[in-house]
Amino acid sequence: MSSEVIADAKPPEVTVNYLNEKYGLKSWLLTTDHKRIGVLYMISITLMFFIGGFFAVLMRLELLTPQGDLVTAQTYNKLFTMHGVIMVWFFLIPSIPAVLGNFVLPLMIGAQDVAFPKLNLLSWYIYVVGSLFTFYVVVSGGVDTGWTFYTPFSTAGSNTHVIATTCGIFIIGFSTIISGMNFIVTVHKMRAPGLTWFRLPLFVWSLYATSVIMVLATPVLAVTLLLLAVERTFHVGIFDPALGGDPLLFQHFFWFYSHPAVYIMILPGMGVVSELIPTFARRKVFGYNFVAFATFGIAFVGFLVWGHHMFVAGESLYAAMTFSFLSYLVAIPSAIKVFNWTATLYKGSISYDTPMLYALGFIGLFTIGGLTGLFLAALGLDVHVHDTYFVIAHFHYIMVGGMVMAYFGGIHYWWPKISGRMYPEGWAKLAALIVFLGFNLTFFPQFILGYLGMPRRYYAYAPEFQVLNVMSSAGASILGVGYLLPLIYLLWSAKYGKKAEANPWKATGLEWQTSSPPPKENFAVTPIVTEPPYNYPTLENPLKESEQPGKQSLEEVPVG
Amino acid sequence: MSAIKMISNVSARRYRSNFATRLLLSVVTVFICATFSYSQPAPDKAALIRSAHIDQHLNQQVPLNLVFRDEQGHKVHLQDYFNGKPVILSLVYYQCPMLCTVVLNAMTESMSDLRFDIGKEFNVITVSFDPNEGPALAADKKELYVRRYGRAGAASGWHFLTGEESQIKQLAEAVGFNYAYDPSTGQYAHASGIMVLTPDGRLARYFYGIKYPPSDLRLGLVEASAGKIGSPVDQILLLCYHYDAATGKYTPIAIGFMRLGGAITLVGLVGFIVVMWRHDVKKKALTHSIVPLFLIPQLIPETASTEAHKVDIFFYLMVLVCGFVAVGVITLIIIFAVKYRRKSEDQLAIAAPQSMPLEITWIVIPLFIFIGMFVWGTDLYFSLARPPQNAIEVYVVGKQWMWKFQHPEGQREINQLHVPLGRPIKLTMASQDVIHDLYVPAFRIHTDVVPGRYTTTWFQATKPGTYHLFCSQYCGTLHSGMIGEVIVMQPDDYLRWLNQGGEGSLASQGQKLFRQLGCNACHTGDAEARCPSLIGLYGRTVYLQSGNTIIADDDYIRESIMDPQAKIVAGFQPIMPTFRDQLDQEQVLELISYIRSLGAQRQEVPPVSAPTGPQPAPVQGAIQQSESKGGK
Repeated sequence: MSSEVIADAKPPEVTVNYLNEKYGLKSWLLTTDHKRIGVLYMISITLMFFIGGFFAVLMRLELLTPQGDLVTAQTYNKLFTMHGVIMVWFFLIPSIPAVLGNFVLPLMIGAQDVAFPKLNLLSWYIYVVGSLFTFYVVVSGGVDTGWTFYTPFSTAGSNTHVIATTCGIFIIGFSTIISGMNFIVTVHKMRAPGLTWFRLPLFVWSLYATSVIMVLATPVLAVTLLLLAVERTFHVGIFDPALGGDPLLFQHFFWFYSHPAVYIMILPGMGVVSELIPTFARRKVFGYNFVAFATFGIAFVGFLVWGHHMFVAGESLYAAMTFSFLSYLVAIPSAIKVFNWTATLYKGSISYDTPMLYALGFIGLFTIGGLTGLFLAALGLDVHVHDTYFVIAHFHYIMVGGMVMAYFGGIHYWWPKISGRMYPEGWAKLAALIVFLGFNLTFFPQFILGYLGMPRRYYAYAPEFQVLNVMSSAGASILGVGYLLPLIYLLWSAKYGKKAEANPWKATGLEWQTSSPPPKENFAVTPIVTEPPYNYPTLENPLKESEQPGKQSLEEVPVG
Repeated sequence: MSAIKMISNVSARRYRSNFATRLLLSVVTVFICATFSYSQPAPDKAALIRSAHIDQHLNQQVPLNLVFRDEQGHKVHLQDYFNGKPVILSLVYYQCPMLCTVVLNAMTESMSDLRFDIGKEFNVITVSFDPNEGPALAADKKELYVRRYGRAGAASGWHFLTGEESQIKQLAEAVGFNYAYDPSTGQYAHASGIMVLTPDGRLARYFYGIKYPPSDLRLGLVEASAGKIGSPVDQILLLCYHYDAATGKYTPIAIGFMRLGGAITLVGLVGFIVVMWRHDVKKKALTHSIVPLFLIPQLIPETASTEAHKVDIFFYLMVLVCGFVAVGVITLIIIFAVKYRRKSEDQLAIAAPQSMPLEITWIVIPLFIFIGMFVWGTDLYFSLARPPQNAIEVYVVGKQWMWKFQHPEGQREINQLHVPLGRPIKLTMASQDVIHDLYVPAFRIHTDVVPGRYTTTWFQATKPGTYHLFCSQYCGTLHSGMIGEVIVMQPDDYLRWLNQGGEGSLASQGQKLFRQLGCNACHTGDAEARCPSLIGLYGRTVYLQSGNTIIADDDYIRESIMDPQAKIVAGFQPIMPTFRDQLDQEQVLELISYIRSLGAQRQEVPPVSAPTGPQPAPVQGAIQQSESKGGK
C-alpha cells in the first residue's frame, strides 16, 4: 500500500536513476556502484552461459548417434570439459551471488552500497581476467581432463592446456573470495536501523551462508590447483603414484572444495525461491526460522560429505559408511525447505506471474534432483550408478532445474528494478514453459540411461542407448530455444518495455520501497525497519502493513 | 473492507456447516443402527431402547455451572474439576447390574495402560444419572476403582458424583447421552460410551462401546488438550490417525492413503515390467510387429548376477518411496496453486500460523526413512565389497585404453573376460597409467582401478551370455573405446575354453620371471640369507623395522617390489633395488601369484573342476632346492 503512495507521488519519468545518472563506457568500467557492477556481471556471465551452452549443444548433437561421427573423440572430451569448467566456475558460482546478490543485497538491507565498493569492482575485473584465460584455452585448442581434473591423468596423461585452464580457475577463485568477504561484512555492518537478523529476507540469509562457504572452501581449491600445476610442471610427486604421490589425495582435496561448491551454487537459488514464493503467494514464509537455519545446516554439513564422490574410488568401507550417513543428514535441511515452501502456498493468494512459474518449477525439479541424490547417497546403489548418466541427470536437476530456474526467476522478478521496465509477460510465460518441458525431456531420460549403465563422458555408446539419447538431444534443442527467448525479449524490453512501478509485485522487501530503477544512492533517507519480513496483509489482518510506523517513514523517502 | 469480512464470514460458515453435516451423519448412523437392531420387540420396549443412544454434540459447550454432590456429600460445581486439564466423562449409575460396571472396568483398564496419570495430565468425572443414588454409593465405587487403578494421586483426580434429577438431565442433554427408565425391570436403558472434554468444557471426542483402546484414548486426550500434553510423537500420530466421528475411533487415514499410493505405484511398476517383458518377447518376432518397436527404449537393465537382484530390489523400493514423495509434493503444489489462485487483484492470503509440531514431523519422518535407506544401502555395499572365500581370483590390468585379464590357470585375454556360471569371481585390479574404472552394468559392479594400489570387486554370474564391460572413469582420448565384454559360460564350456592352451599357470610364469630377475639370488629361503624368506609369506603378519606390523597382501608385496625401501622387514638391511622400471603391472601380478603359491595361510581355491582342470601352482622349485641345500 505504501508503494502505491510512492508511485503516485513521483512519476518515474522525471527521476534520475543509476542508469541515466552518467553515460559512457568509462562511467561503467570505473563504477563502484553495486548495481552497475551487478549489471556488468550479468552481461559477462550471460556470455559465458551461452558459450557453455553452445558446447552442450554440440555434445548433444554428437550423441544423436551411437557411433562417434560428428566430432572426434578428443574434441568431444574437450567439449564436455569446457562445458563443465565454464558452467561451474564462470556461470553457476557467480550467477546469483554476483549478479542478483550484488544488485539487490544492499537494497534489501537498506544500504547505499556494499561494504567495499572498490573491492567489488576489483572482483569483476578478476572475473574478466579469469575468463580471458578460458577464452585463450578455448581458442588455442581446449583442455580434455574433465572439469574435475582427476590426477594422474591431468598431471601426467593429458597434453592439452591444463595449466592455462587451472590458472583461469585459480584467478577467478579470488573474485569469489572477495565477493564472499564483501557480502559477509555488508550483512554484518550495513543493515538499516531496526533490521535485525531475524528480520532479514531469506535471500540475505542464503547469500550470507553462501559467502561463508565461498570464503572457507575456495582457498582449498586454489591450493589444490596449485599443487596440480606444480606436479605437472616440475614433476614433484604429490598425486601421481609414479612419482610417489597418491591420486586419491587429489580427489579428497578437490571434493573438499567442490562439494561445498555445489551448495555455493544451490543455496542462493533457494534464497531466491524463498523470496518469490511469499511475494506471489502474498503470505509470510512458513517456518521462517526453520528455512533460515536449514540454510546454515546445509552450509555446515555440506563441508562433511565430500567423500560420497569416492564410494567406488577405493576409500575404506567405514569411511564410505560415514560419508553416506552424513550425506543423508545434509538432505534433511533441503527437505525442510521444500516442505516449508509448499506449506507457504497453502491458503495463499497465488498469482502466476513468470517468476512464480520459475519458482514452482524450481520446487518440483529440485525435489526430483534431491530425491535422486538419496539414491546416490545409498552406498549399494551408488556402486551401480556412479559415473553414469544417472549422476549427470541428478546434478543437472539440481544445477539446471534448480539453480538456473531460480536465476531466471530472480532475473524476471528483479528485472523491473534492474531495468526500470516490465518484460513482456506473455513471452516470458511461454519461455518458462518451454524451459520446463525442454529441461525434463533433456534430463529425465538420462536417469534411465544411467540405470541401464551408460557411463558418462562417452562420445560413442552402445546402440541400445540410442532412443533415450535422441530424446535427450531433442529436449536440449527445446531447452536451447527456451534460453534464447528471454535473451531476446529482455533486451527488447530494456528499451521498449512498459515503464515499471516502484513495486509492481506489491512485495514487502525494502528493495521495492525505492523507485525502479533506484537512484545511485538507493535510498535518500535511510529506511527504518519496524516489522518482520514478508509481513503481508492477510484476511485476518488486512491493515497490518499500513499501520506500521516504520512504513510511514519509508513513504517520506524522496525518490530521485 | 466489508468484502473481506464477508469472505471470512462465508468461509467460517462453510466450516460450520461442514461440521454440522458430519454431526448429522453420525447421529443418523446411530439412529439407523438402533432402528434396525431393535425393530422386533414390543412397541413400548422398542421406544425405550431406541431412546438409549448417544448423540454426538462435538465441540459444544457443557454447562459447567451444574451442581452435584461429591463422595463426601459436599456440593460441587462441574467447573471445579476443569482446572486446565482435559477431562474424561462417563455417565453410569452405581447400582447398574451389568453395563455400567463393564464401562467402568474398561475405562480403568485403558487408563492403567496410559502413560498419563489421572489428576496429573487429566481428570475423570463419573456421574450417576440415577437421582436416587447418594454419596455413600459413590464413595464405595470410588474406593473400588481408585484401588484398582492403583496409581498415587488418583483419588484427587477421579470424582464420582451424584445429583438431582434436573442437573443430571441438563448434563445428559448437553452431552447427547440418552437414557430411559424401564419400570418393568426397575433398571435404566442406556448406551455405553465415554466422552473426552477439553479443559474449557467443550466436547472433544466420543468413544463408544465397552472397549476404549488406550492409544485412541491417548490421542483423544492430546487433541482435547490442544497439544498441551503429550509428546511430538503424538502430534505425528495425529497427522496419520484421524478421529472418525461416526465410529468413535481413530482411523489411520494417512496410512490408508499411503497404502493406496503404494498399491498404485506397485501396479504401475508391475505393469511396466510386464510391458518390458512383452517388449523383449516381441523383439524376437520383430517382423510380425506393426509398431516400430525399435522406437521403444529399453527401460530396465540386464540382470545377471546374484547381487544384481538385490540391487534391483533396493532400487525399485527407492523408486517407490521417492516417487511417492515427489508425486506427493508436486501434487500438493499443483493443488495449492490451483485452489488458492488469486481470483481478484486485491485478494489477500489467510495468515500463516507457524507450527512447531508440523516442522518436527517433517524433520523426524524423513530422518527415519533416511536412516532406513542408509542401513539398507550400507548392508548392500558391504556384501558387494566382500568377496566370498571360495572365489576364483582373476587379475585385471587397465591401461589406456584396454583391459587385460589374467586367469589363475595362465590364460590371458584382452577386452574379453570368460567366466563360469555360478562361481564367485574376485577381480583384483591394477592400473598401468591413470585411473580407470571397471563397470559391468549387468552385474551392478563398479570399481575404480587406481594406479599405485590394488582394488577388488567380485560377482557371481547367474545367466550365460555376453555382457558389456565399460571403463567408467574418464581416462583420456579413447575412454569410450575402453570397452569389452564379459562372457558367462556354462562350467563345461568354460573348462573347454580353459584347456585351449596358455603358457602355463600364472604362478609358473611368475616363477620363471622370479629366476630371470635373479630374485632367487637373495630370497633363497635360508634363515641366514640376506633377504627374508618368501615361503608362507602370503597372508602372514610381517614385523617391520619401524615396529609396525602389516599383513602381507597383494598391495604389500607389490609395494615391496616397486618401492622396497618403503617397508623394511625387521632384522634386514634396506639393500633391495627397485624394480619399478623393469616390470609392468601384469608381471608384478605374476610374481605375486608365484609368491602366493609358495604356501599361503589362506586356503587355496581349487579351480572349477579340480581333477581334470590344469593345476594352479604346485611350483616351489627354486626355493625348495635352496632350502634343501640349507638344510644340510
